[in-house]
Amino acid sequence: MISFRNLCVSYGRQNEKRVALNDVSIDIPTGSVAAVIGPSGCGKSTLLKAAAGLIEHDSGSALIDEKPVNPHEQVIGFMPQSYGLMPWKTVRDNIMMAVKIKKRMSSVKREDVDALVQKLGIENLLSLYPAELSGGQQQRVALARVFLLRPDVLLMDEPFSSLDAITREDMQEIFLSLWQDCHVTTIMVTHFVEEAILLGQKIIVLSKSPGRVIAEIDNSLFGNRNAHESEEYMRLAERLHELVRKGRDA
Amino acid sequence: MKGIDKLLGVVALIALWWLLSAIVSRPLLPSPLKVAQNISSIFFQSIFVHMTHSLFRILLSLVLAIIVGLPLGVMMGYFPHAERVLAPIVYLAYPVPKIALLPIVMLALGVGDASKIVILFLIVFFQIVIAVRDAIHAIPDETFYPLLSLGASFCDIFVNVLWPASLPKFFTSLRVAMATAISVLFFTETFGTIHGMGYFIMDAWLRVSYVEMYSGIVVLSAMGLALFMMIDVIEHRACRWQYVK
Repeated sequence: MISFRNLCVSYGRQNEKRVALNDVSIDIPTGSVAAVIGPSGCGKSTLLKAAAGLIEHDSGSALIDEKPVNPHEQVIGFMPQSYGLMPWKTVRDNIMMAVKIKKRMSSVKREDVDALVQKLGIENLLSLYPAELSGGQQQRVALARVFLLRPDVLLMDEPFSSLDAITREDMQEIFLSLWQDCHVTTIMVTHFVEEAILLGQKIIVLSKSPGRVIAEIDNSLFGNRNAHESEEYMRLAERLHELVRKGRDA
Repeated sequence: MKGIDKLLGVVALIALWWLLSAIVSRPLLPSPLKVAQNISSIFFQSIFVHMTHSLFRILLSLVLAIIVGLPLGVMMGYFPHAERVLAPIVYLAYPVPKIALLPIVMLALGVGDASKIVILFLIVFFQIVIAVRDAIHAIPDETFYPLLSLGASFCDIFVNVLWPASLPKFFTSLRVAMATAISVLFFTETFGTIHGMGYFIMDAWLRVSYVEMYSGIVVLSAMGLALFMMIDVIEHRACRWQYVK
């Protein structure tokens, strides 16, 4: 379980502090995906960084399985918006980097790697560099890297936002299928309402800075791509749009 | 630049030299053929030993500058505390023309190899420190996130990010520094030594042996070119990712 308890985070120096997150409390149960949505500058990325142990918080706590977040002890898979691939490493080295750093090489079987890259359709790209790949291919490599690691928690910052619509749909499907194999506890930040409904079992709406939780919605349409036409979908989408708008104007 | 382009450049340069020497037609500018004949007849008797001395000085100073400059540049680029302490020193020392320090260095270390190597070291060292520091400053924070969230050690970060990210600028700084270093090498070798290409060229000049003087200049230039090409080859191998698409 990932838990935030009364989390407050601010940036800047003492006299010109900007509060990014104010009193945020969320629980994300083990083995579920939460989508975090909200207007630009609402602290969505800050929330992820707090969960990844990348930033200090002023008060409150960020916990993984009731223990304070500690990248040295827990296995945290973090996927930044720009995919976080190293331009100087080949696809193969990029995929293996995370397990190497976590010293898990011995527990990773060759067959697992082969199966994963085949599932992602990147088996012919292994000796290329990221600059030689399309955005969608880079995304697949980034997914291979985090899923090979089998992390305790997976944190994704707008993972599919820079892809074109068709590629984005493909990647969402691939993500769902990978996720269904391992049910890793995941937080995904997005600014697409449709994506939040497709990929979030729980949808968390944040308001503009300072970010606060304005709604937490349990989503029964998770993983259902054919729900688009249903009345329930329309209602939820409309409600989310309204909440995001409210959060923006707050 | 492709190999064939380089070859064409050399041919064009020699042709121009030939033309000029034919027009001037005085000992002041011997023809390239004469110089080539001279080089082939005296290279192993006299030039070779001077060349090895010069190469030794420049390569040793290069290696020392890398050993000291690279870690310092990494520290300044990655650790804000190190930057705060070291930046003012580097900032003040960098613009001092190193060649002007030669008399002081010679007083302190004598007129032998040590003073020459120290001067060359200083020229290359500052370029490396500044290039590596700037390269590390330019790495976006996002690049570090996947590693930091894995609890990566400094060693992991160095190997996976800092070192490869700073290599291209590191090689550029070597190239820039090398050109200056060779000029300065020439100058330092005109003092307190009877070995080195600088000595050889100036000695030939004083003996009014223009063909030998030109031979020395050609060999020194070829040495510089060889060092440049060596850096190019190493860079191409080490930074292959820069040359895809």
